[in-house]
Amino acid sequence: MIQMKGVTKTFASGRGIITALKKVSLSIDTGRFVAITGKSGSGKSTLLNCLGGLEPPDEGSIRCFGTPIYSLQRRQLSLFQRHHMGFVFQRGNLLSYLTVEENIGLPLALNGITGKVRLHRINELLDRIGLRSTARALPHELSMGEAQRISLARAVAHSPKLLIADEPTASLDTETGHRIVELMRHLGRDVDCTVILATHDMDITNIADPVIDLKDGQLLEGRK
Amino acid sequence: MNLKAIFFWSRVAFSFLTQSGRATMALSIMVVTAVSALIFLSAMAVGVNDAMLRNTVELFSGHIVGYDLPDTIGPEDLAVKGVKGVLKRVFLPGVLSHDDLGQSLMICGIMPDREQIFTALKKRIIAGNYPQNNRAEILISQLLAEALNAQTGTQLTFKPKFPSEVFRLTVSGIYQTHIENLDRGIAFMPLDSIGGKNGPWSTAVFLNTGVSPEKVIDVYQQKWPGRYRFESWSTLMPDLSQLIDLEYLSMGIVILLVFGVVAIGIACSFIIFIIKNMREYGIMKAMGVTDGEMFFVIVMKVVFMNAIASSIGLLLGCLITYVVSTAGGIDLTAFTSHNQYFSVSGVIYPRLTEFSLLGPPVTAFLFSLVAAVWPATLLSRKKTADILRMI
Repeated sequence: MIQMKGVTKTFASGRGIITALKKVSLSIDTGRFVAITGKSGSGKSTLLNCLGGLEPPDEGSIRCFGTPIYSLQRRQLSLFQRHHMGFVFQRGNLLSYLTVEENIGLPLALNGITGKVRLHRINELLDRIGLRSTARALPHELSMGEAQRISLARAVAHSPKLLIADEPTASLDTETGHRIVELMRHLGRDVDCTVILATHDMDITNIADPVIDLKDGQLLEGRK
Repeated sequence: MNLKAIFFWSRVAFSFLTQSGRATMALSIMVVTAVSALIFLSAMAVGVNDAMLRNTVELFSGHIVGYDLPDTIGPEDLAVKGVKGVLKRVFLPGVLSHDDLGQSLMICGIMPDREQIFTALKKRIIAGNYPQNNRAEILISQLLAEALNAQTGTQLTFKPKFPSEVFRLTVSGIYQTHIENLDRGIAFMPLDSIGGKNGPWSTAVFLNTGVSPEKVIDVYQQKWPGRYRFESWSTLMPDLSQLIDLEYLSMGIVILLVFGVVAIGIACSFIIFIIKNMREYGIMKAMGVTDGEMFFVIVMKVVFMNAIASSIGLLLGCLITYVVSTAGGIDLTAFTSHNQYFSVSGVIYPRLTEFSLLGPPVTAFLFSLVAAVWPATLLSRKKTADILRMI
């Protein structure tokens, strides 16, 4: 289970202090496919960053599968992310100097999975996303849709407990975007992980459960 | 970090460098140029020192001077490993005169054939020739010639300080070295002509390039413990010794300064590299790459880039040095003609030594490592979310 209690996050900017999250509390059961919706600036990305250990909150606590992640030291938090989390961002997810198979293999190598097991998993994922032929390609040789599918394969390669996706379809056309989300749902289910994604797309929210609405950094009542 | 992880992250760093080909190339060119230029400059510094030493030592004195050696020891006994040649000399104080003009001086009895092989005094003869064996001839300096109103062919008289026969000598040649000790108070005549083959003698020992005089003296001291006095050129000419040390010191400072600037250049370039790829580092951090691993990757990038660039720079520097050295060196006579340390020749032959060969690449490597710390620290201090928001 993922639990967030009284989380507040503010940022200093040229326009003064901006409160991105205000006393947000929520809990998400393991294995769910969760959508976070809201307008631009509603705090979706901040919420995901806080959940993923990328942004320490000013107040409140966050527990991921029983671990208070912000009580961990930097190195321990990195190792927690390495073992239990996967991320997909809106764009620029892949490391430009590694090939597709090296990108997918990176989290596996980080988790000590090497040799034939690693290669087998890479090929399995490439087959699953239908991009086996791109194994030796570099990221700049891929289309946006292909790059997002590879990012997704990389995010689930090490079978994380939590997959966080921050508007992964925002740069894609509707059809490709829906295919990516569908793939995400299935890959997440394959490795039995909790998927939390931020999106504007109402069609995507239809397949999510629960859907968390954010407005001005605060939760609205859930739709499901 | 275990060996497997070190290999893995090294491979990641190498991939980064190969995929960032143009940027890596541009940065490498800077290091290659600096390393090769400094190797050549260091070799030139060694060459200048060699030239000063060659000019000074090979003009007359030799690398080692030995005093009051007995008849029982011959020049062949001093020809140990590293010795190029041993010259026998006998000194005789007295007065040299022409008509009513006289000068107190030291006559140096020499073996003309061997002297001409190992010393460069003949190159400084401005009139006449070197004295020849078994002839009552004398080689005098221009200052002495002026003082005695003599020229080649003039008959001079030498009366030794200690009563013995008086020598009548013909001036065979006149030299000028611009070195005070040689231009005043000394003249040269064949050893045969002064009957000095027997009795105490002095020696000038000439060594092969790079052989330490102190080590050869140690060998002599082991052979004849504490019995005879030998002095190296650095004891006899402390001013030259200091000048050579100063040359090495100033070259060392130049190397440090150049690589200080190069290191700042490398650090700035890596900062640009990192800022350009900042998002990727953010993604890596989000994937759970620790600060230590990130630091290692950046350091390995610098290490790889430097190892390759320094190796190329090393080869290039050696090549330039070899070409210049074998093509007759660099003739600086126009700038050294009035300098006593370049009295014979102003040609510089750059020479590679451990200092000139290893100084620049080792300094480049160490400075680059320091340069890597700056971008690595910058990266580890940034929060992942901040990095991802930046670009």
